[in-house]
Amino acid sequence: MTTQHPRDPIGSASAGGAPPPSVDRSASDGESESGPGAAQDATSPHIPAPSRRAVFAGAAGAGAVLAVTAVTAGPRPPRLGPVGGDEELAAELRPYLGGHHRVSVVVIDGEQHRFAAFGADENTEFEIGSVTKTFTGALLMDAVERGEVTLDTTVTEILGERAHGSDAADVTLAELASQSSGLPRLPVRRLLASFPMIVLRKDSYLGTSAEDVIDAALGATLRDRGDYAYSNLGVALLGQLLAVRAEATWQELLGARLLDPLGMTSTRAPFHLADVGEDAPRGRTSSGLSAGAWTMHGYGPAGAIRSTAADMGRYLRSLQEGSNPGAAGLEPLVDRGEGRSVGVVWGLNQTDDGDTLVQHNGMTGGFSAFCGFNRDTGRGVALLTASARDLDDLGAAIIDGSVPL
Amino acid sequence: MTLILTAIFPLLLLATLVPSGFALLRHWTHPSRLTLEAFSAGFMLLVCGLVLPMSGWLALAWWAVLVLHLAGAGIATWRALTASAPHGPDLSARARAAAHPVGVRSLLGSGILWAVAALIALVGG
Repeated sequence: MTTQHPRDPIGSASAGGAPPPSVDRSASDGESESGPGAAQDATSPHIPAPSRRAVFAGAAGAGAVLAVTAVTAGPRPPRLGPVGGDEELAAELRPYLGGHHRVSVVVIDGEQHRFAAFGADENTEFEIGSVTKTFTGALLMDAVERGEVTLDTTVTEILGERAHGSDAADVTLAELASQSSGLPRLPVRRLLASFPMIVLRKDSYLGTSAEDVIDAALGATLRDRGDYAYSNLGVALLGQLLAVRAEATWQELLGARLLDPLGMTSTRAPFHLADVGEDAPRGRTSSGLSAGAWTMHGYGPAGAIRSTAADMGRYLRSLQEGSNPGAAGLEPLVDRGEGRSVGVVWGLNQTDDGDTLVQHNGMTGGFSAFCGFNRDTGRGVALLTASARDLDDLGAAIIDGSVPL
Repeated sequence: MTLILTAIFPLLLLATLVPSGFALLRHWTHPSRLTLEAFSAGFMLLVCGLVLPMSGWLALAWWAVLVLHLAGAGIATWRALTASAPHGPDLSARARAAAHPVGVRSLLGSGILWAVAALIALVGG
């Protein structure tokens, strides 16, 4: 007697034998089951039943694919690391830090200096992203003080014949610093080239040299010059122009004219990825996936600095005390309306109470930062997080007093 | 623009995967088609996770779609073990497609696409 299998096609193995055992024959959405001996419809040919092995193989394959997908790309909600520093400050900030795992915060209130962290300490390194632009702005004011340039110095005055014929030839350093030069945020070619790097979660600016930045700016078409329009290309060009004028690299200027005099010994801007170091902390994307380090190469003046909470506290203090050359660049150069303006890189916001907030944010593929202070109350804050999720609202709320600390 | 990129577009992409997940739950599915659906859903989920910011409730939606397909795979496997493939003139198009086996080239192509995306997710960062 032929062994009956519940899935044997009707009318084959059971020929001459007993009808097959009853099986689950739920009918829904038009499915129909033909009984023994039913005529085949020519438009819906009978499909041979898959073997048991094939079914398990399909299930195993599907399960493995979905499991690997979950492990490699599943969004991972992070948890805040262990508390360090001022526990009271950490407790006050914790409710605002959902979605972050490693955070460092330094709050300055006059002479008082408070530090708190989650999963970090005062010397843990973070990428500060576009807060770097404020350092480039400080280098500009330092160069002005030295007499190397003025705020009205043009691109042509630094680059000479190379800039002739370019839209950007008569753009001033002040326009570059105040995001009003009309240069695009990034050249289109850079935007297109960055997409694969974004997918790979690596530095979008890899492979760009200082010369590439200058060429891109000279080849760009200006739009709405005079109006505020954020431009990584503009500030990167500013940094490279200062380097050309000083006959040094932007990194050399940064170290010699800013970091060393301010005692920011834990702050750096490595150019090559190898210089970042294998042990350097890495950040995470907003989905919680690991992100590669950013050095930004030629665009370094726009976002390449790595710093610590301790050093950012020194940076803030130096701005408030006036020892930082960037302190001379805190007057409005461009009006953005609604109480907002831009000085030399720094954003300037007027609160309803009449306070002036000086602030700048930053973000890379795996980090986010906020740095700012209230010129009237003296409260300053530097927020550093190893996650590409911004803390801008918290930073602004701390310095305008909305978040009582 | 930010809302489109960070909420609307990711949500639409995830929503396109929901019908295939429900189809696995409702219709008898050939094992080869089950594997194909896993490759397709896996690829789209990888793309969403790699390219778009999946956090907060979007992350929940991502996992919900994945669990839907896992559950669908389980139900489809049980159904394939205990029931015969449906056939007949009254089959819906969806049911007919689900029951039909998939060619090797389709499986291979989908598998390669998924594997490339998974490799990028693994080596990235």
